[in-house]
Amino acid sequence: MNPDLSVDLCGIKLANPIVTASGTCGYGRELAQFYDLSVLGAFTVKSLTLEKRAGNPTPRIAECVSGLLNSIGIQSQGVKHFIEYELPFLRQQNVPVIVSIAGNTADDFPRIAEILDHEEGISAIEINISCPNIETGCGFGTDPEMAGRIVRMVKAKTKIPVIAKLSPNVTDIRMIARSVEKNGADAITMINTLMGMAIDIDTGRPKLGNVIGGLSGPAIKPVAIKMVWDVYQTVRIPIIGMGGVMTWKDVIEFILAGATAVGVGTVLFRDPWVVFDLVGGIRQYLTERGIGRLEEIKGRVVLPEKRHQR
Amino acid sequence: MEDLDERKKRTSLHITATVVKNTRLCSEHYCLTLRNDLLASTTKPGQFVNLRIDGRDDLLLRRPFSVAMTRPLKSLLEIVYRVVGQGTRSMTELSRGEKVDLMGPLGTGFHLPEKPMNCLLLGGGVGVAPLWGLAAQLSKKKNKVIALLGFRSSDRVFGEDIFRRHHVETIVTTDDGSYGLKGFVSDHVEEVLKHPLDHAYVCGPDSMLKAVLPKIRRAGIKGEVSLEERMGCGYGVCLSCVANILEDGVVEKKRICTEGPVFDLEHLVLSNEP
Repeated sequence: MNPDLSVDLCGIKLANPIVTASGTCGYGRELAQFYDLSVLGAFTVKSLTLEKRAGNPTPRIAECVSGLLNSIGIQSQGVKHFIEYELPFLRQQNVPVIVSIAGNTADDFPRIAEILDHEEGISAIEINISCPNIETGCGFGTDPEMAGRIVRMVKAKTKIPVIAKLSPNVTDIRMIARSVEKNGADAITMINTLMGMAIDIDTGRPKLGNVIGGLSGPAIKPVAIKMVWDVYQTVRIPIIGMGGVMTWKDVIEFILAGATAVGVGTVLFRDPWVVFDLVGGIRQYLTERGIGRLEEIKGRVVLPEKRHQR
Repeated sequence: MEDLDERKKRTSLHITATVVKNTRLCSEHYCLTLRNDLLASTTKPGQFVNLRIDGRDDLLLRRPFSVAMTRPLKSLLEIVYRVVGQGTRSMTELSRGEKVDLMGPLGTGFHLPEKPMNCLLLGGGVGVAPLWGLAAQLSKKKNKVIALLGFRSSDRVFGEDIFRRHHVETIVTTDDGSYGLKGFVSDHVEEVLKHPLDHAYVCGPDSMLKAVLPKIRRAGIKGEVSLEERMGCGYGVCLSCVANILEDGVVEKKRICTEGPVFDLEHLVLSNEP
């Protein structure tokens, strides 16, 4: 038996559920040194801004116990540079491409989307309303009104499916999820990093040049699983679940919590080849249990009796 | 399907090397000697490898180390590491025969002169290590080499003999004067710069670079600098380790792991540089 690992993400057919997380894989050329990008379900590029951005001062990362703090601050060459120099390469990779976009202002999002709308070879636009490392970034994604408004403005400018990337730095993520769904989002990516800080006690200084940053890695996985489960019960649109995936077991966990696809990020820094283990592990899990299609187990966490299920 | 996926894997850069020796050089530096034919024969001075700390799932990142020396005929390479945290501390436990998972060779290396020149090597602390292999190659190509190497104190001095063995005129400084000349590399560099010199190779901590680079520039000597910064991936995707580099008159953020770690002295812009 060869189980079917393909998933349908708002009409985009992914060969398997593994999607790279934006900002952890550049624009594809570096990973392509290691493997053919078609082994991925989809490839998500680093967030594009309207104009060039320098990003934050160094040090930009600090390793924590089972986690990684970063404050890169969206260093970007801008959307036009991407279209001219990076997109032609990605078009040849035989993998669905998700283009992440970020804005200094709310109006940047529809402007970038409008520019991308003319381009071939983009499977979806992911709106990064949750970057903790730029002044206004998190703000867009922590207010349900604003999050919804940006989705609506972007949808008005493009026919390409729109995915909203949500911030976990909120009181109730379900409110944001509902708002983006109501305003036309085709899917949700979650979660972005959790805001964090670390201090070097020898110098008394913050470990990040930008003082604060976003936490990723296995330390945040239980938070991500819980939020995916919450949002899965709240909305109908599909979820790309992410946060701390290191092994295929984590992928299965996200899918049981309700994710349609699963993002990998921080683990790629250590082991870009992990994708092969993830795909192989999922296949074996399904085979051993006689499950024909991965989508059959989506959201199928087995809850104690009496607990409300979707 | 599985076979198809496997065929799509490109395994260059992913290396398993065998530990041959793991020797303590001084109070805080160790030298790890590894056997791997591909790395030993292809790594250039100034390039680095990114080492995975096995058995420590809580340490998420690989640790980058410049390759100090290669011995292609014996398939050996040496990396020097300073024990600073949990990752490097656990590396001290590595013993002969164990396997280590490496990514490499990564980054750009130093450029070797096309014809023999007068070369200056400036190293500070663990930054002395990448100059080992460079010294060996420069000497082999008949360059005249002077090295000025700085350490904090006598118990932290390492590698001096390697430079002398390769006929390099070697001057050692210690901050506290417990060995060699007293003071920083920057206190003595002007004296050394009085020698006829064509090209400088520099590797050391930020404080050293800030103090010596203006002096080298003022002396009108060309050169290159190997930079250090906290790295995430080591292969160019995370954009953690960036440096300010002049390109066509504009300062750009370049990745130390990919466009570096070696940059042209002329193009490097240090923050708060006088």
